[in-house]
Amino acid sequence: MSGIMLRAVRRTRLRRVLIVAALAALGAGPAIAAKFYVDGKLGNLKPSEIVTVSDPKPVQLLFEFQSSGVPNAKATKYAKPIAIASINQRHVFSELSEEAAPGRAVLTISMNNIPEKGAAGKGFKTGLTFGLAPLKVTDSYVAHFELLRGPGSAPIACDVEHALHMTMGKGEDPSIGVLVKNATDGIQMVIDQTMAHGINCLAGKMAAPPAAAGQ
Amino acid sequence: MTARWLLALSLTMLGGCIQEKMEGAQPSIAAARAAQAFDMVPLAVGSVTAEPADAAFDRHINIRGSTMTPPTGRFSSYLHDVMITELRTNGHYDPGAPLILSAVLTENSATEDFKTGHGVEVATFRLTRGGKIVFERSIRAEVQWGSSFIGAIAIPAAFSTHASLSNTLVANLFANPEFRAAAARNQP
Repeated sequence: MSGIMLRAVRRTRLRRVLIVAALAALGAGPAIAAKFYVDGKLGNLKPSEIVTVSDPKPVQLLFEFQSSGVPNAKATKYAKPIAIASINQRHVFSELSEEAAPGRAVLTISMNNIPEKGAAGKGFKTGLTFGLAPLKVTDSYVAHFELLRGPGSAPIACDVEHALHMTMGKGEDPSIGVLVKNATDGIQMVIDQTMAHGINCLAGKMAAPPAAAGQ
Repeated sequence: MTARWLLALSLTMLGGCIQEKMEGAQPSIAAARAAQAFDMVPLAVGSVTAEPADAAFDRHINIRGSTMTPPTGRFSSYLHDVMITELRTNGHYDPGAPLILSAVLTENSATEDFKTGHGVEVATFRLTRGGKIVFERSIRAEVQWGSSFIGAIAIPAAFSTHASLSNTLVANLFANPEFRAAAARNQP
């Protein structure tokens, strides 16, 4: 895990470190490697699903990473550049800016990390049994996208759900999701896919007639 | 019994005091929503201090012997930065505006009981125009989080959650009806 990652998404990271440290304390660490899987339900956008915006407009972005619904400044600092890069790849907006400008649309994105309850306890159990009790914990992510195109206009909203799974004491299991190299790669893929689907959903609603767009 | 010793050993390895510095001020969705809900005039930001001036709560919060400090040394200074950040992000900051927003931080705490954490921040906000007070009110922000017996979970949970309180305080200010009446573009 990189140094940047150690500072960001701290609560998620520490839960994993806790589990690994517990295993290391028991001398079981090397025998039970952690595997990270990006949930496979969302996946990458298919070419046929991509909505093209003919006249992209500039937008002010307000991005917030949350832990259990509470803003997490360190995680926001880590996740925001990944989210911005992903949004720019969609070409739905001509410019993303964090500064306010008169008449500019405002894109608000909250990405809420909901950790699995009792994950640390599962880790200890796996360590104490030297891997005989295999471990699987899930970090769920719920992202809310909202575009306010101007004062008095109805906001356009989309929601996207994703998840990152970690296993220990188990062999590879493709049914869990897409196996990635480490947690950093996993979280980056989760953010990228979440942004791609959320922005594409907004683009679809932007193109829809006004009566349907807000739904 | 062996399992308990192994657990204790694991916890010992994860112990130790943390000295953490908060990130710089960032905008929040809650404050943006509150600011978008009414037509606010541009505001300047004046002084933000703590009362009492030498209060320990202005310099740090402690959880289980670990300390979190604001990026600029004082929570009152951090609140000052958050006020400017939230106003600027929403297009309502003007250093030369006649209406000046200032604040006094009067309470800042974080506590936990191994199951639940609780953070509180209270400040008295004041709007002045030409030296005359047009709004003054104590605003409170509270937050709770799931804590743990294990310090490696409890301490960062407390720090990352408590760090959101200054933004919540400003969001609550923007949502306050008396503040809105005083800061609205077309006052009744």
